[in-house]
Amino acid sequence: MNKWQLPFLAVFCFVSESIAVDVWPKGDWYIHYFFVPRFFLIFLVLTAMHFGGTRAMGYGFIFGFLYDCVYTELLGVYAFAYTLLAYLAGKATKWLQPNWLVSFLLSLLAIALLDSYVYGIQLLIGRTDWPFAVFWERRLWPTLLLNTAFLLIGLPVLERWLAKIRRLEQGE
Amino acid sequence: MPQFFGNKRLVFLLVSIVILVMLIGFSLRSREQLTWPEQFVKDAVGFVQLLFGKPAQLVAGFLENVNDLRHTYEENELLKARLEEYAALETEVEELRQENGRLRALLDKKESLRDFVPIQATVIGRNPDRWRETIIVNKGAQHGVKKDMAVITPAGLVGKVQHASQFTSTVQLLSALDQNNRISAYVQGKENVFGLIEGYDEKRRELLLGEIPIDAKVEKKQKVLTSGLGGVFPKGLPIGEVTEIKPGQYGLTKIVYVKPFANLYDIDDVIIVKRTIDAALQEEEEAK
Repeated sequence: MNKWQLPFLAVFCFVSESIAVDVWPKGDWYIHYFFVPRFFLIFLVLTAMHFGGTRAMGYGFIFGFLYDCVYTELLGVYAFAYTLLAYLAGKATKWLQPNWLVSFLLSLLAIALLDSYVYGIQLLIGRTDWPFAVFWERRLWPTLLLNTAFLLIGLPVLERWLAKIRRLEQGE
Repeated sequence: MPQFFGNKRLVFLLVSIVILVMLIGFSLRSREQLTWPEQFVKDAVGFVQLLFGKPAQLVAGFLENVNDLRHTYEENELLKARLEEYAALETEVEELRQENGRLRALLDKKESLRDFVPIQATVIGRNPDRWRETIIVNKGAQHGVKKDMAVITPAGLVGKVQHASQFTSTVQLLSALDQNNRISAYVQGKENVFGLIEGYDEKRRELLLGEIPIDAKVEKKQKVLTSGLGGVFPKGLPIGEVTEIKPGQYGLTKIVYVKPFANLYDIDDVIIVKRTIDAALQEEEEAK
């Protein structure tokens, strides 16, 4: 039973991104600003901090690939980014004191990196012609804002849940 | 500076980047169909989405309803006024329909480009990163959905099927239309003017209808419908209304701005449109 808690949390975070966009009120704000939920990435960074980079990399690769297949139909982009970010988060935890502030900032940094990277790819393959300033104004800061709000509410819950899962696993 | 990557890992990273580039190249080719592993993954995730999404949608729907209640009185007044117009219009439509049927019978012409079979579908997910506005709906190839079919809401055209898996399919919204996915349309008037929906002006939130001859007569407020020429769209699906006419790039064509009837963003339930004439043709071919 305990074995399934972490995968369940992963699936939940993954699916909730799509649902969040679906139920988001579709007003002028939705059309002009791109609030991109990155709940799974937050989960990934926290997993890397609690369970080590290797395990997070596994999750990153599998769910990144799912993301590519199901949503963007551009294979490899998220699989690569999630795996790399999980690796870096795992490395970073080794010489950072793990506390809530660190996980908060690390998550935001990962989101900023991921979004800039995806923007770079879109620019490279010609699917967008936004200059960086527009990307910053319409995409990056709304995304960071939304995820900051999510972190303020969800981080304590996620942290506690992950800590509990880790304790249970160590107890076995 | 602490070392992030060892030598072995650096090589591994480089190899992954090469694979990444190859994969992107593979997915950028215009593909007729997704590979079966992709289809399988889509269907599986679609199922999970349905599981989690239904309760979320119910709650969101409830909140929306509460919000709607506040405007009920004004809306009700407006609708009452419209209802009388509607009754008159309906009798007229019925007469015209009967007449059309009689004339068709006279001509012995059974199928028309206009006829279609609606496939009702519900939105179960959206592309969260929204670099391409797509939605995922809960009907797929098993229900008769095919690539490029038109997707409408009761108000009008909203998009086309990008890829169909077995039990789910991805719909590309009109707001994400690119050069490779043009839609043949016409402006309804005394003489119909044909053109192609070429793109979406994000600032004005309007569609661009191009390839219209410079001497064609187009006026504001005229309606734009699908033409049913080319592709698998039926004829006569409403798209939008003309708002502005501008000369095109080289002065040989006109560009017409079209305000879509349907809300291209707020979409919960859609109808996938399957043209009957194709099914009839297929049957004929199979009979041979």
